[in-house]
Amino acid sequence: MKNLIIYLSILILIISCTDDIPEIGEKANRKEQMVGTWQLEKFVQTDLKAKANAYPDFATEKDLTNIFENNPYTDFSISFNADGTFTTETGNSFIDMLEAGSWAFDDNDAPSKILLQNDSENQTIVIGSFANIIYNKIEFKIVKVDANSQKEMINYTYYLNKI
Amino acid sequence: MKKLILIIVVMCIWLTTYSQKPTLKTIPADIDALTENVALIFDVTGTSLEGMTDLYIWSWCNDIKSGPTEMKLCYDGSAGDWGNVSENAKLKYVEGNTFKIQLPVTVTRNEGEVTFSTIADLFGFTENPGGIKKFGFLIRDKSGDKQASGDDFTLAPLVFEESLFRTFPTSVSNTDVVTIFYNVNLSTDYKMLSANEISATVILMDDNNNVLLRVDNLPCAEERSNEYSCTFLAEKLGDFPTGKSVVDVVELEAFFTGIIETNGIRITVESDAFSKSFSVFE
Repeated sequence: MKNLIIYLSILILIISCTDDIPEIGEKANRKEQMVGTWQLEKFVQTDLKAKANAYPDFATEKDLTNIFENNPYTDFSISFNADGTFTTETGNSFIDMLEAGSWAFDDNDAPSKILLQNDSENQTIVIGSFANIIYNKIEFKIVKVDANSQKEMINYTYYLNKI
Repeated sequence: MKKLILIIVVMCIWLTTYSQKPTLKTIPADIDALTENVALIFDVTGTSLEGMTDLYIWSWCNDIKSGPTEMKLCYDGSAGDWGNVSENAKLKYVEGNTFKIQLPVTVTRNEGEVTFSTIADLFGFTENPGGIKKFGFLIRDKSGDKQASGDDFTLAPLVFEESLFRTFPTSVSNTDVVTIFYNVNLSTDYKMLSANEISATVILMDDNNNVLLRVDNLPCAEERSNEYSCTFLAEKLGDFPTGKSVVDVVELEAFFTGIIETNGIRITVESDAFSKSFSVFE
């Protein structure tokens, strides 16, 4: 009888706890996470060849965020709307991106790129990392590839904060 | 006297006709000793070899350990022989006065079939690719009676090396943010060593060496002690001539300017110039 009472107690405990434990493998809704306005915080240029050859930091990376006094890259922001549209504000920055249009992930289950489109043009943003999206931070990347060797030569990383 | 003048005039014409050097450009523009799939493009326009189609390369570099080393395409055995250049050194005729070597190239030497994939391979620097910094070359006919020497070709370093001028990134296209550096510590120009208010002049050129844009007095920053830098986007430097755009820019030339002030008199001094070919990126 004592054993039965112990087993029942454990069973009741387990059942009562199940609501608090999230389902294992439940996927984050990336689209929901992306919706909002993202302001550029930092813009970095990386020489991938120098990085591969273990050059010192000053010859490998360059922070371009405020390199142009009157044209700070921090002027840039992009808004992803829930209805699938987007708008960008470039301010005085030299960022060349579509002003408005529609946006979509390349793969809704495991997105690695954001596809921007308006009537006549397409642009692709490579998502550098979703690691900190729960902290409202995300990284976008643009990689320049040598036309001849197809080797990756330069990487531009956009660090953005959701505002 | 008339004959003497005639001879001098003829010699002057001959000298000006064939006074140019063969040029070497590579695709991609910036290569190091280990870059693969390189095309070496030679142009003999204006040299005594102009108009010829059967031409050979004779090329050498300085090995710190063993001295001058000839390019392995130039000989089949163990050492270069000027009087017996290998058929492997024959350049592929492209058009006009241009010739090329496309890597990788597979040739037959005394030891059998060999493939050279990189500049390091071509000079036998496979175990010490960083040992080759630059190479010299001349273009010749089979006999060697006709020849024309080009300027040394400098390779991008495999390890970071301080230099008087450099760019960041090391390879860059005409649509990238470019930073040019001038390391005064390595200058032997005593005027520039004592100059202040360092600024830069950037000149953008097309593939015919026409100046598309020249911008003076670009502000510089001192990022490291006595190393000045100037960052710019070519397309934002100014207005291009009608019908031209940043797409037409293939090369930049730059120099740095400083001010020396003595007894209230300000004198402008200039560094040497350096040039950089833009790569083509996608």
